[in-house]
Amino acid sequence: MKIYISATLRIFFGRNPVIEIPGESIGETLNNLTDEYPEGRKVLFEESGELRRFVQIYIGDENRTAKEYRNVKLPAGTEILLLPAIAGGSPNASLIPDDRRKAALLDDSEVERFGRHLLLKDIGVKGQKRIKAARVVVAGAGALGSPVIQYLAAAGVGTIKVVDFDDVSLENLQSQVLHTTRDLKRPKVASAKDKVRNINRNINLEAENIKLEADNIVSVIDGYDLVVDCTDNYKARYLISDACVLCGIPEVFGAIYQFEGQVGIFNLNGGPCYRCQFPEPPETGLVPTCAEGGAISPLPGIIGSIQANEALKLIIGIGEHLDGKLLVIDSLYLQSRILQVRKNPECPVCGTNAAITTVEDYDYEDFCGLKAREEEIPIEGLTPEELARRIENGPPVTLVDVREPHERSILRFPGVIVIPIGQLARRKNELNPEVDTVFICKEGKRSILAINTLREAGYAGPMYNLKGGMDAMKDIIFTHEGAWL
Amino acid sequence: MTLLKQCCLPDHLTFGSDVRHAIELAAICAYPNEACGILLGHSETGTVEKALAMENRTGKGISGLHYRIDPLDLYRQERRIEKEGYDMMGFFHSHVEAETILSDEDEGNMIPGMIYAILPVFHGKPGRIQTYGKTGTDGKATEISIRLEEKAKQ
Ligand SMILES: [Zn+2]
Repeated sequence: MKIYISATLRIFFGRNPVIEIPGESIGETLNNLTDEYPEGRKVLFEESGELRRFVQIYIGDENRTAKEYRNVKLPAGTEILLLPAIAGGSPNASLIPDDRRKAALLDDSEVERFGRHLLLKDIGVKGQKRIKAARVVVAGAGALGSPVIQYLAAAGVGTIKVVDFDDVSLENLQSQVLHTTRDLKRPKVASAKDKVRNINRNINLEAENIKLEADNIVSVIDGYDLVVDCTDNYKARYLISDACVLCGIPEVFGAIYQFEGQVGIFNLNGGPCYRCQFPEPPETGLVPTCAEGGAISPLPGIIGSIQANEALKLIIGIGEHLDGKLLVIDSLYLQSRILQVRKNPECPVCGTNAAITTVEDYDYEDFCGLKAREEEIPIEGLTPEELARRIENGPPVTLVDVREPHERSILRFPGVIVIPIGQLARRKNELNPEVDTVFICKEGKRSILAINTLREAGYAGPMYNLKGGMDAMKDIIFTHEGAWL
Repeated sequence: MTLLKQCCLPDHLTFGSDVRHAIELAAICAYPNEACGILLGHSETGTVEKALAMENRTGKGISGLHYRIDPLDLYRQERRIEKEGYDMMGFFHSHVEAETILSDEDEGNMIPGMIYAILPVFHGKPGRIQTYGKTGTDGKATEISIRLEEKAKQ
């Protein structure tokens, strides 16, 4: 084989531009070459035997650096190019520009309060001033928002905007450690404001008691340095990510489900966005949202704390972070891995020919399957009151509970047939097409999927959806049951 | 770290007057993206006589923080340079709104014996060039001092 050597590497190969070396594959030829030039071996290979990062092997115009080509037999006389990859980048930059850092001043009490940060070489006074100057939006004051808001406040983030439209309910207290029994029925943002005031009165906490929608998101996040996504549903995630791309704001993403959690950083300096990694949401209903599916108490604490840590690293400009990566943690078996997230050149938001240029014109409800499609026959629904009357006064109805077994064990609906969604098509003969059938899930969304699934499977009987699912049914009393559901 | 005996870096470098202007021009033209290119000259005397800008092949959106020279682009340039009688001395790139310290990525990709010049650009204005190099396979790079030849007044 003939090996052509880049001028940048030649001093390690006797200054020869071309060397004839016997060998039948790239691997064998490189081996023979570096046997002859031991200095060259040290330059090309790590001690582990892996090629160094900058070494690139080409045959003609084709890059053949990857391991899979190493032992492929080549025709005699193949010309191999040994070239360097010349690449680099700027050092990790802080999200907070120097002028804002300099404008932030620490008083005596702050020097005392943040002493443990100031002691760290990587944070110090400069880093703490950056933290103080930072303006961060936390979307969601629930499970993930609880640790994120409290740690960002404790660390001294100067301005924190918390956005949530929900009130605190009893079932929130299992994992949303920001709220207490005293906060029941209060807006989550009000409770967040109180907690932060108790941590540090100097923090400017902006509470927005609204639901993020396409027509308000830009005004909510514009002008902030960072958005931490602590929401629990796909619509909000796509909306936040898209708006972050369009406003040029990086995002720290977090999600939890049952025992597993994910953290990633999207849209940092034009890096990949949420859509690059997740081009489409899973079909509605197949994966229950966290609100429907549940998660073990400390899991949001773990994931949210990592989100807060990543946020602070971005603000200070230190360390290696999850830019273009997704950390996946399995808390049940204590395993974690980091997935690489690649920028999708065809991404509809951040790609070369992005089709989404404003969030207002994009139909998130439709994209996330939250809307009945036009070509489909509309699904008739019953309110909890209507269903209750129907059960009590007849005519008889068949009730089908499509929830998963663990969800049913929490709250049972009396007199139902239990068929999880995955088995519906197969078990459709268990239903009587002469009788009205009502489908029940936790929030009334998976039950719509159930009805559509059965329609596709050719079931012709009348089907109804329980609007709002079991959650909406909780306050209805059945007189003949004599008990709360 | 393994020191390589065939690899030596000059203690001092001299940059010809046109070299600095060429690097600054490339950096300003590329701003707010990073500029990159190659440095040509004569290794024995440690003089850099020419800076040639190359295309930054980093993907869309991240060229403000990264640069990448395509290996084949480089190889084609090398063949042309040889005919002109220059040595391949190393590379330059700009840092946009960031100081002239080496990033981990810069350091990990360094070829021993090559020189790496970095020009910081803040708000479109070029700062002071600094040059680094490595004589071993791993470990830290060292800074190499440079003397910039000023353009003779005409
Ligand atoms: Zn994208």
